Amino acid sequence: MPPKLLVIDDETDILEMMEGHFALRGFLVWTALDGAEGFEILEKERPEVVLLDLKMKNWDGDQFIKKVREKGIQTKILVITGYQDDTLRARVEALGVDAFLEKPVSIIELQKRIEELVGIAQ
Amino acid sequence: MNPYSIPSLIAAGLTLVLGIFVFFKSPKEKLNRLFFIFTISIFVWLFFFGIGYSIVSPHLALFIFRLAYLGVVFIPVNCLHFHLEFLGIYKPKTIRILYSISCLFLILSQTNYFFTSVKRYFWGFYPQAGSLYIPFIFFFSLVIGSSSVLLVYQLLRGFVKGDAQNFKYQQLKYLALSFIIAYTASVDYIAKFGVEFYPFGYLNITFFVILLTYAILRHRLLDVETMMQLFQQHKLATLGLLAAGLNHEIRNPLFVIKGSAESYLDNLGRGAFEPPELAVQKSKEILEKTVDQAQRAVEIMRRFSSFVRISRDGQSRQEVNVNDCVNNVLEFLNHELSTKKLVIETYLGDGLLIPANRREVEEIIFNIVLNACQAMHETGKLSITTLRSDDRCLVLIRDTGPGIPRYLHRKVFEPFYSTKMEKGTGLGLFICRFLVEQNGGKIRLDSKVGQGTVFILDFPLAGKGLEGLDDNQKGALEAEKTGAFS
Repeated sequence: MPPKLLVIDDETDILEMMEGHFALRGFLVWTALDGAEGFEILEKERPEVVLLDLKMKNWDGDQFIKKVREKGIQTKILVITGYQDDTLRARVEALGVDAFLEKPVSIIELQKRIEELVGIAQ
Repeated sequence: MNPYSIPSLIAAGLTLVLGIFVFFKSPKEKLNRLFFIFTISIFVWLFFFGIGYSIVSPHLALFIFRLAYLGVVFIPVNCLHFHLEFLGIYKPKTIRILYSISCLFLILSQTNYFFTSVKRYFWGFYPQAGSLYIPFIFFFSLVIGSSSVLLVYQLLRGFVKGDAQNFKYQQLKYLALSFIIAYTASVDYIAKFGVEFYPFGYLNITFFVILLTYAILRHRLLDVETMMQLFQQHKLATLGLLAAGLNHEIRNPLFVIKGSAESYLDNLGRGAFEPPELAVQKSKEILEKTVDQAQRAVEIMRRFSSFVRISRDGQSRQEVNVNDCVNNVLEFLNHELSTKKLVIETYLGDGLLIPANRREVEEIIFNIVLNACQAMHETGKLSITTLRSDDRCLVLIRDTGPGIPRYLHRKVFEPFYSTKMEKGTGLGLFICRFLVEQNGGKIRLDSKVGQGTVFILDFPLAGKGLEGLDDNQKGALEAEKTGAFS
């Protein structure tokens, strides 16, 4: 069973890039433009990993994480954000995320982190 | 040296020093240069008259007094030119004609028909008027007279319109007062008709210099540089705030560029493109995307740097579309706005062209919108309405923040007044008011504690009439007329 990945970001260009890369790497990829849409997919598909942007229209990243953790869904959440802000980082990490990465993170690095988290050895 | 020469020479020196000071404050400002030229005319007049009193030979004295008229003939037109520039009235044709007439009098003043001879009074020699001096007095009084009427008219009009607290009005007040004092120096002509009436004009000029110096120091009259320095200071503080936004915004296109390229190289390296033609097609897609994203990054930088640049392009007013300004500001503040959960609504009317400096209008709107956002904590609604009201263009910027108590309504426009503590420079609204007035407009606010604040910018419109309003705007207009929160 290929690992399932959900990417949530309000930029279609980023979604396309991630989808293109991870699909070729054998992931099943879903994409969503905001937290609300992402949450729907999460409940239905239960992906192992969620790549999450913080700043989005509808629900933003914070709300999404809270909702997921409230429901006790044990998915790995990797936050990828353009903000360089220590207080924001501390706040988000306290909500329970598995990694906090800054854009522009290397997509190869990102792939390695994901593979470690889902236990795929390369 | 005749002691009667001394006061004239001192007044001449003081005037020139003031002129040079004003000139070097802002050498690029036309207004400052005109003022400098005016002080040179005054200097030439007082300097040569001062020298003339000490001359013992009547022929040489007459020659010296004629030299003084190199300056005197230009005093009225220099004055009028300066005042028109200060008031933002452009009459290049009139000014050109008046300068030509002055040049004509300059030539005439060197003939025996202008000054026939000199007469000895108790203070020394003084020139005596000939037949051509009469039309000159007429010309002099006419130009100086219209200049005074213009200033007084503008003062009264400003007073009636309730501009008395306005920055520019305060400047105008001092300017009018000091120039009217200077004009009375023209009673010096009495002694040119054989009457022994001591020419005390230098006293008026000395008062003129003192009063104007006070206005420059106290009301920043003719002092664009200092204003610009204050602006720069404010801008730097604002930029610090916005730099975080720029940093964030630029990372998205970079992420796409970097990620796509890495992904492509990775796939190429492990031979993931099958058939191999796919690699070529993929590379094309990725390069196209890279170009797009790089362009986007450039666009973000351009927006930022166009805001950072600060210069006064002289008096470059053009027809500015207020709605474009609103949209540009909102786009620029996009990041700042999105860090909070603010609802942003715009109701933009049609055909809102105002004669103004575009960058300054954007800066005004920018400062008010930024203030409004900072006033609202985590949530709130920001609405911007642009509309016509008769021959005015109104921009209403409304927030649902905590509001401003009535006793502070005037205070918020004063320099260095801030409620934002460490975040604010206390200059934002002061600069807004200054820039609004520079562009011929007015700014006021209406607010109710606990409900919010609306700032109303009121500019003269390039066109006229009340059309192209939708219901929302009509509502906003009604609210504006009746007082938005009353």
